[in-house]
Amino acid sequence: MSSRSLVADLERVVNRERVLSSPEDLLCYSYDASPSSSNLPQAVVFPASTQEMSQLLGLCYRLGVPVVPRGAGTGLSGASLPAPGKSVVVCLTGMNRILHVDATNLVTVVEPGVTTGAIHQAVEAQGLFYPPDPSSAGACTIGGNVATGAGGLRALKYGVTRHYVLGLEVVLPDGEVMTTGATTAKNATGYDLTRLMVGSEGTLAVFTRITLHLIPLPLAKKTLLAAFRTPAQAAATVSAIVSHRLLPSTLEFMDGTTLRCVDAHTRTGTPTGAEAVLLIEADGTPDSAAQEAEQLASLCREYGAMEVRVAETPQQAEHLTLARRSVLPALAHAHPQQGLGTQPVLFLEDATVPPSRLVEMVEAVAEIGARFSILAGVMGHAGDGNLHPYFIAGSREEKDISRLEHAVTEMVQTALELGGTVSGEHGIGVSKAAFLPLKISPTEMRVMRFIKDGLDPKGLLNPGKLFPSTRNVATG
Amino acid sequence: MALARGLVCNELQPTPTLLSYIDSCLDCIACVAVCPSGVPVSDAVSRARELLRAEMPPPLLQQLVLRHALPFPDRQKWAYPLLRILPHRPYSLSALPTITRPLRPSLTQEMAPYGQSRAYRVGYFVGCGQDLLFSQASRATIEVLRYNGCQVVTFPAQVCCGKPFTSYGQPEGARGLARRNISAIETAGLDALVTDCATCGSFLKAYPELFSDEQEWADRASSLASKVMEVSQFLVNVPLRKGQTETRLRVTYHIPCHLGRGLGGGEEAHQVLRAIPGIEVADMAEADSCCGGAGNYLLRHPRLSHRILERKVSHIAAAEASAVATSCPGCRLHLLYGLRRHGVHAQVLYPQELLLRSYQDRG
Repeated sequence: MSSRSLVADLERVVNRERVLSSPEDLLCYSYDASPSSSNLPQAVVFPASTQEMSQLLGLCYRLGVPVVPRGAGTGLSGASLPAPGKSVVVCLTGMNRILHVDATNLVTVVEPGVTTGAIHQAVEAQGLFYPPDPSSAGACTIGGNVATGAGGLRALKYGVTRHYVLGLEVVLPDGEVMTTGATTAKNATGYDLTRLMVGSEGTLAVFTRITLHLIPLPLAKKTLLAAFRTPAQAAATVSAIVSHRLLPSTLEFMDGTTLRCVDAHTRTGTPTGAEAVLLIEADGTPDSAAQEAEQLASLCREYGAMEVRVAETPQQAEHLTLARRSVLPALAHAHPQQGLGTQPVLFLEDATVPPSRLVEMVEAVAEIGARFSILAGVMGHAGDGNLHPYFIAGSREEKDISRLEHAVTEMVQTALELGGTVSGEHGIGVSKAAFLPLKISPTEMRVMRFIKDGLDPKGLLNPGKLFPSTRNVATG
Repeated sequence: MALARGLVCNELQPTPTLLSYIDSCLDCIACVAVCPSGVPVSDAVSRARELLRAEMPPPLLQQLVLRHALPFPDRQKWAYPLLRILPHRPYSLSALPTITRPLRPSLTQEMAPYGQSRAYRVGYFVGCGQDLLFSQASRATIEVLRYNGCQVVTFPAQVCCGKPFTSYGQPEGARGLARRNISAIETAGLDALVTDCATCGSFLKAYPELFSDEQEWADRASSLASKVMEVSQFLVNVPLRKGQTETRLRVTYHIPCHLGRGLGGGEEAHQVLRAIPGIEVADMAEADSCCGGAGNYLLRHPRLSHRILERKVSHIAAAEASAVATSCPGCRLHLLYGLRRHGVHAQVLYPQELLLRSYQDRG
């Protein structure tokens, strides 16, 4: 069918102001935060209600048109990129209401297009806490967080998105509406379809309502930063912290390459000679946070830290976290930009290893970077082993991209050899689909395919994502 | 950003649709301020505007105003009524204030400080919109500077800062005016060049970027730009002389985009307000978010502009203040209009107007 008649059909379901189809509009919804190359969809639609979503998916199901759900487009794995060929992008940013915050039952019910940061603000105003905090919280949507199983800086102590989703309202590929889970913390009634949906990357259903579990907001927070001469010292400190049964809310690692990039971009005053830094936060009551911070600081010193800074004021805490918050901009500027057409390319990965294998991973990434002559480093959530190894090349030229892809492949293989996993919190999308069989056994893959085929027999919902394809979807 | 890139890389054609999207950018700089990768979006938008306007020139009337009115201060008051007769609903005719008697022709070139000996020699850059619509406020700016030990210098050869040309993708026009301003002001031996229009200020600061291909002019622009300050930024470093008589007023402050993000200011304006006895400064939610005025954006995109304004007005109403202070004639005009339209009773003024009253009222 032609694009024009598809658009006309879509406009019968939702108001025509909420259907986009000009080349300029389509371009704006053809990419996300991943470096994957993309395709133009045929239309972008913004449903405003569950009912519209249901009608929309029903229509596309009848017409046989693939549907690609999308939030704010901050994803790092290409999970919301339009499929090759025909597709309709369903953008959920219009469904952005926080329906209620229930302080008695510790739940909040939200629509999928709300930003994670808006949820933080709304619940914290009532002394409640929604811990998952991906770095893009100010922009990313909760729907995207649930779809990718997003993590963040507080996962060691508080877990990830998966641990806070109590229930969902979803629309199945044929347009039927289903609710899963409950609004209670305990629920033992049948298969856990809620958890099946978390991390499904828009391949099984589209979320229209999300019920989240909340906890009381910690009263106090204490921040410290420890600098080490070697990554091995930092890693030994991480192991010591865990084995001493301390549970900081944040335990972030940055290697020497990262520190030098950050210092060149933002003057953070990292001690010279530091080849690793740990940023640590303890939270709780004012007393317990202060006491835990003290124990953490003395452990850092005991394990060879060249310098430990403990923030005494919120301003000092802000300054200590500056280096960690500046990593992405610093890496983006690590290669000089040469104008709008030729931008450097950053592959920011999220391979995860058991925390005890941190040093081996850091050394392997440096070696891979040197061998392919590209800038490479590691930072990330040391406490839970969820690392962000990254590789940066100067351009999008084929030889650069190919070097990056080879480097990433070797890095992923190393992570798996160390007993780790392909993705900790960004998801598989298109950019890591080829790696999935390396982690997932043929039996597990067969069960996953069975579930996918059962729920989406026509294969219309977010095709080409998650599952490795015979087609090379990554290059479209 | 993707659209600008698409245009530069020839993936998109310069179509009216593309122009309307690029043109709907407020230039509020909020995206640049939050971008983790530090992408210079404003530069990309300017470049895209330039490419698009080469294919699709602005409407005749705008061209006339740009070429034949803006560069000539004495012709502006004739161009302004043109704006008033144009239909741009829902901005009604009566919404635009009438012209005040411009100060510019009556300004003496050098005005001595009051009382004390001269501490600073300060240039006053007269903004066009400022002088046309709020000349009484310009007078307050000058007087407050004089009360703070400044000899105030104005420049008969000074023209529009050039910013409106960039909104229409015509950097050459802006460069022409910039050269005239630089030549008119650079030899005056100033300690600072002060303005009470945040947009003029941020554009003067950005003069060097206009001359990336002309080293000599870039250097001259840099030395001028290094002296540019919004009036509150200058005053708090003087140090500021505190107000005398008490003014019982609850005031909230709207931070203009081009002051907050453009010149890194805003806090200083709060300090000026706090220097006035009796003034209670009320916090406003999202004080640094755009009011939607954005130069002539309010005329080009009335619907978007109104939606942004509504949000701002609701924050002002929630602050329960009887006055809103700000530091930009564009914001001032738009806030005046928005408050009246939504029936919120609050005056709109500049901090330095309140300060001057406090200097002058004697008992």
